[in-house]
Amino acid sequence: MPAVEQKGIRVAGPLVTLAAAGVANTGNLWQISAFAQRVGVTTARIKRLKVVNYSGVSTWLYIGTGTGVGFVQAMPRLRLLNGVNDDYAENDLPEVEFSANITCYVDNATCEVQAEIEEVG
Amino acid sequence: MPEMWPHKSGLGLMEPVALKDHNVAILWSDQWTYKKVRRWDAVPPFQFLNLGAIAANTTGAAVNAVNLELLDDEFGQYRWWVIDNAQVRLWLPAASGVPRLRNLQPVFDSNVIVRDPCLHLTEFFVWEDNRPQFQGINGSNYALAQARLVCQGFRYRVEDLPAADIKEIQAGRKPCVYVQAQGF
Repeated sequence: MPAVEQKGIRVAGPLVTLAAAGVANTGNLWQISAFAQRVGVTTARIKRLKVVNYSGVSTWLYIGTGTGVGFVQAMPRLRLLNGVNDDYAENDLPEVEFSANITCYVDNATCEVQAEIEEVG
Repeated sequence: MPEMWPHKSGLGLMEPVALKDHNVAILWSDQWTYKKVRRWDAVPPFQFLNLGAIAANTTGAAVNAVNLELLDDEFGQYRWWVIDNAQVRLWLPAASGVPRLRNLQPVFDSNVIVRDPCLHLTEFFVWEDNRPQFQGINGSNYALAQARLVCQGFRYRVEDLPAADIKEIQAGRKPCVYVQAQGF
């Protein structure tokens, strides 16, 4: 039986390669479903995050919404050590409910990021 | 034998809605047909329909579920779920939604396993070869390569009841299981 705390459908987001650094170069971690045939709105929560940093130096990963000057950080930034895979599980991440596309960027490229999402609604 | 109603049996895994020699009344085309169960058999979980690929933000065509058809004088009791991240409408027959409210037709998605692990709320019945239709909706912003549906349940073979028994059932003096093999 699924965990009690599961509220929605869990799916994997795309593999995002952040080949350029800075807030002007955000990647789209998850697109919110907004199909008119769906009754009600859909939100998303990150349940797992898999990242790797091969930029040559340790860096920061920022997760939020929007891009460029419109980027709004949604949770504390994550430290990515150089040459290390990191795996943040459900209990390591805050229960931020996203109602807009989830975006991310790093201070140093290149990094790869992939999220497992719980779609709610 | 107590009077039984589908969906009434409460918690627990799926059970047959009637047993051998139980009376059943099957609703199809807004007519009740009174029968008696001669024998029944279990249908294990199996993939009965793949709605195929559905593009992002698209509603697919309704597809006949021919694999749920049965022979004459048979009815099926099915519970089902969606494996993939699609929302699915059930029609029985083609123009009648299951379930259906006044203003909308609720859809099923893979969330039902979380909300209703024993799938009580997905239960529907098929009378003979009056197959249902399923229609997939991909509400996500990515394409679905497939939309697979799985069901499980029971198959019943029934026989005619004497007219006197039918009158007793209609008068409420004999027990009967009422099976609605159509939507609203």
